[in-house]
Amino acid sequence: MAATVNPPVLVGPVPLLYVQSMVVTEGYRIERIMGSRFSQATQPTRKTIAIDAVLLGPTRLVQKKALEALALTSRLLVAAAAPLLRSTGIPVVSGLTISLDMQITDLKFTQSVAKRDALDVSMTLQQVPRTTLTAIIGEVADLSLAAVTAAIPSGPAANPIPRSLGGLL
Amino acid sequence: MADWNTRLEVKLGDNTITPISTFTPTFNVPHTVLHSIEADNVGFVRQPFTFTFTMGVPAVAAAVADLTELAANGTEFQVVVAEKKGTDWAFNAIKFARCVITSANPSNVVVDGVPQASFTCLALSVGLEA
Repeated sequence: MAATVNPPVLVGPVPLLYVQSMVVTEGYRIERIMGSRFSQATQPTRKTIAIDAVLLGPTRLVQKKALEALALTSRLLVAAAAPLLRSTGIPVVSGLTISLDMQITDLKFTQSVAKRDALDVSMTLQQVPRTTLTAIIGEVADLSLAAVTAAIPSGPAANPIPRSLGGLL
Repeated sequence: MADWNTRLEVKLGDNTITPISTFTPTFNVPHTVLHSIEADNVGFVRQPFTFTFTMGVPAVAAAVADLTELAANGTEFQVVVAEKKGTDWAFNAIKFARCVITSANPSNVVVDGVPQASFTCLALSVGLEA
């Protein structure tokens, strides 16, 4: 992949171009059965995605508002979005994972002296499955992402300075 | 091609600092490169600018005593570098307003020659006249 291509991480309709880190936490809950040497796998743990990103440039506050709208930071927004949220959540589309049915549970913006004309945003999304159908679609999308990523080389080249002349050595 | 035939002067308030051996202004304008999880070098973030300058003054100038007093009292002052004679310099004047001294060597005594004083200063605002 060329060093100049920077696919964004999509949180719903909001493209995050400057994501610094993305952490997916998932698993299956195992409970010990009392008085026995057996364990019981009970249910999947809630999948969470933590994203640290920087909002940059003149549109940073527009993006902040868009994220706040997704996170439903006011009761008015909840009322407006409720019919839509009944059937679907926020899709997170990135190079790491494609996850549907996410909801923003924590959203933190930091304006600091260290970064001018920029906002640090840190958010946590949690999976809230709606229907079996969206769960299946989400899993298929995630699986196809894994398959496609395995097939194409990704990430910047070791030397990110593009060369225009000559072929392979 | 201009032939350098210009004399500059450094003024502390209204008084010229003379003699003065060195005057080195530094504009520190940091920008940090931003990377994303998908690509390198996708943007940069500006960080706060700082303006500093250092002065080397032979300790025969009357200004050395004034500057040392300013350093000891932590008083604000302003410094202007301007063309005194000639027009070869790229600028007409560089003005440093609201300066304080952050480090002062009032006089290091040497075996030969004049004791040297050096002052490291910071300025809150800078004006360039070209």
